Amino acid sequence: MPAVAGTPALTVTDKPLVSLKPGTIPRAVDTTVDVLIVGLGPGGLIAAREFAKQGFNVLGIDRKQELGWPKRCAEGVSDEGLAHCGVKPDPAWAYGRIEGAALYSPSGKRVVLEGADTYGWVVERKIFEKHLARDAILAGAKIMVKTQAVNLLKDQAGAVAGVRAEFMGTQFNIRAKLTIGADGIDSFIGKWSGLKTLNRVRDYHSGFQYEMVGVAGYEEKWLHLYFGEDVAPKGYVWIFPKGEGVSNVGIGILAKESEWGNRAQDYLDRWIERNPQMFQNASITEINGSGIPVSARVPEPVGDGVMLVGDAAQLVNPIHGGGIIIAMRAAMIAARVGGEALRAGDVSAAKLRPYIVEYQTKDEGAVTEKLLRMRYFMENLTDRDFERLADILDGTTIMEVANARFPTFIKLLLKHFPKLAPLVRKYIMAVQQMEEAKAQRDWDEVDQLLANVEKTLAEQAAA
Amino acid sequence: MGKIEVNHSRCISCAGCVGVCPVDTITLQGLTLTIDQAPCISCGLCVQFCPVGALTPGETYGASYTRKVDKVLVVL
Repeated sequence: MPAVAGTPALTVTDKPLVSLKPGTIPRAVDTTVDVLIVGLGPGGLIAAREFAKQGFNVLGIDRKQELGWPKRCAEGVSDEGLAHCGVKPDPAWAYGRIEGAALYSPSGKRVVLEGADTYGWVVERKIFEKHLARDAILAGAKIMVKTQAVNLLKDQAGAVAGVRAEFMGTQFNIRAKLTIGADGIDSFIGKWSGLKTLNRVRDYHSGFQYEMVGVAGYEEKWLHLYFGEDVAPKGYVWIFPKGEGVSNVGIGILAKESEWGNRAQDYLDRWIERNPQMFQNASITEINGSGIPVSARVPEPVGDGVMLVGDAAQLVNPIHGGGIIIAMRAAMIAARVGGEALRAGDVSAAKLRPYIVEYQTKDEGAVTEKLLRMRYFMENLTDRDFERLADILDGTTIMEVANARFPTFIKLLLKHFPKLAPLVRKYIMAVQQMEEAKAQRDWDEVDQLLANVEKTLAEQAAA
Repeated sequence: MGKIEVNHSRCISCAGCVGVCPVDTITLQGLTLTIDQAPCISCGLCVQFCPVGALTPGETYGASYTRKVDKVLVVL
C-alpha cells in the first residue's frame, strides 16, 4: 500500500528536544508525549480525556482550525450511550429531545418505535465537541488544532512512534509511546501503519445532508426514517429533529448505487421536491456529506504502538450508520487497555488487542457484527417487501431486530410464510452473504489486486 | 490535465472519496481536497462515490487501465 504521495514513513532515531510538560502550551516544535491522538471528533476527545485522567501526557491534534465542523453525521446520540461515557447532556448542545423513531414504507405506512432504548438527543456537534474538548483539557490533555498529520514516525523496530505534523506551514515531529488514530473514514494513521482499513464500496454508504429550518409536518419527538427504492436505494432518508423547527434532513445510499445523476444529493433533492407540503417554507442552513463505513469494523484495528477508534476502525452501526456513541464507547475501552499497556511498558499489538476483543464481546461490537446480516437482508428488499414488512412488524419487534435479537422477527416471517416466502428466502441469502463477507475479512484479494495494479503501473512507467 | 478533476466549488470537504480511494491518492489538507495524479489508477470509485458530483474524469482518465478498473470494482 503506497503512502500518500509516495512518501515512506519516517524512521526516527533522534530524540525530540521538548517534552510536553505542565506549564507549556503545545506549539509547533518537536515534542515527546505518552499518547498522541490524531483526530479530535467524539472518539478522539473521549480518548484524550480518559488517557489524561490516568495521568498520561496526552496531546491531541486535529487538522481543522475549529473543532466540530464540518460535521459528517446526523448528530443522534442515545441517553444510555452518553451516560456510559460520562457525558452529561447540556442544553448548550443537546438540542432535540428524542423519544422514539418513525419508520415509513415506500407507500407511507408508518411504524413507530418507542421505549427507553430509543431515548436520546440530536446534538449540535459544533458545541458538543467543544464541550468534550473542554472536559479533555481540564482532565489534563493538551490539544492543537489546524495541525495535520503529514507522515508517520516509526522506530527502528517498525513500531509506530508518533507522527510528523504540520501547523500553519511549520512541520515538526510528535513522538509518542502510543498513537491513537481517530481520524475518521479517511484515516491515514491506519493506512500508514499498514492496517487494512480500505473501505469497500459494498460496505460503504454515500451520505449527504442538509440542516434545514422550517420543515413542516413531522413530530419533533421522533427520528423519521423513509425507505424505498426511489427514496434511497439500499439506504434511507432521515429527518433528525433538532428542536424549534430545525432538523437534519439527510440520505445514505450504498456507494455501489451512486452514479452520475443518481448521487446521494440527487436522490435527496428529488425526495424533497416530491414532498412540497413539508419543504415549501424551508431553507437550508448547512450542507454536510460523508462516507459511512458500514462493514461493522476493520479486521485488525491495532498495531505496534497504534490503535484505531471510531470511523477510522469502521466502528459504525451497519444498519443505521450511526457512530458517535460507538466511537466514544470504543475510545473508553481503548484508553483503558492502552493505559494498561503503557503502564506495563509494552505497547505491542498483542498487548493492545484486548481492546478489540472487549469491544467485540462485551460492547457494541457484539451487536454490530450481527446487524451486518440484517443489513444484507435489508439491501435485498424491494419496495413490495417493505410494504409487506410494514404490515406485519410492530415497533417492539423492530427494536429487537435493531438490537440484534432476531427470534421474534424470524417467527413472524415464518408465521406469515406463504405470503412472506420471498422474504424468508432473502433472509437466508443474507445469512450466506454474511458468511462470505466474513470469509473475505482478511482482504487478501484486495491486497493482491492492488499489488498487481502497482506492478503494472511500475512496468508502464518503465516502458 | 489529470485523471481526476476536482470541482472545488461543488466539493463539501466530506472526505468520502478519500475513504474510498484504494490507492490513497486523495487527501484532505485542512478542508481542501487534493489529488496526487501520479498514483491514481483511474478506477473511478471516487467519481462514482462523490455525493455531490464534485469529481469528474479528466482528460487522461482511464486510457490504459480499463480492464483493471473492472477488476477493482468487482473486488471492492
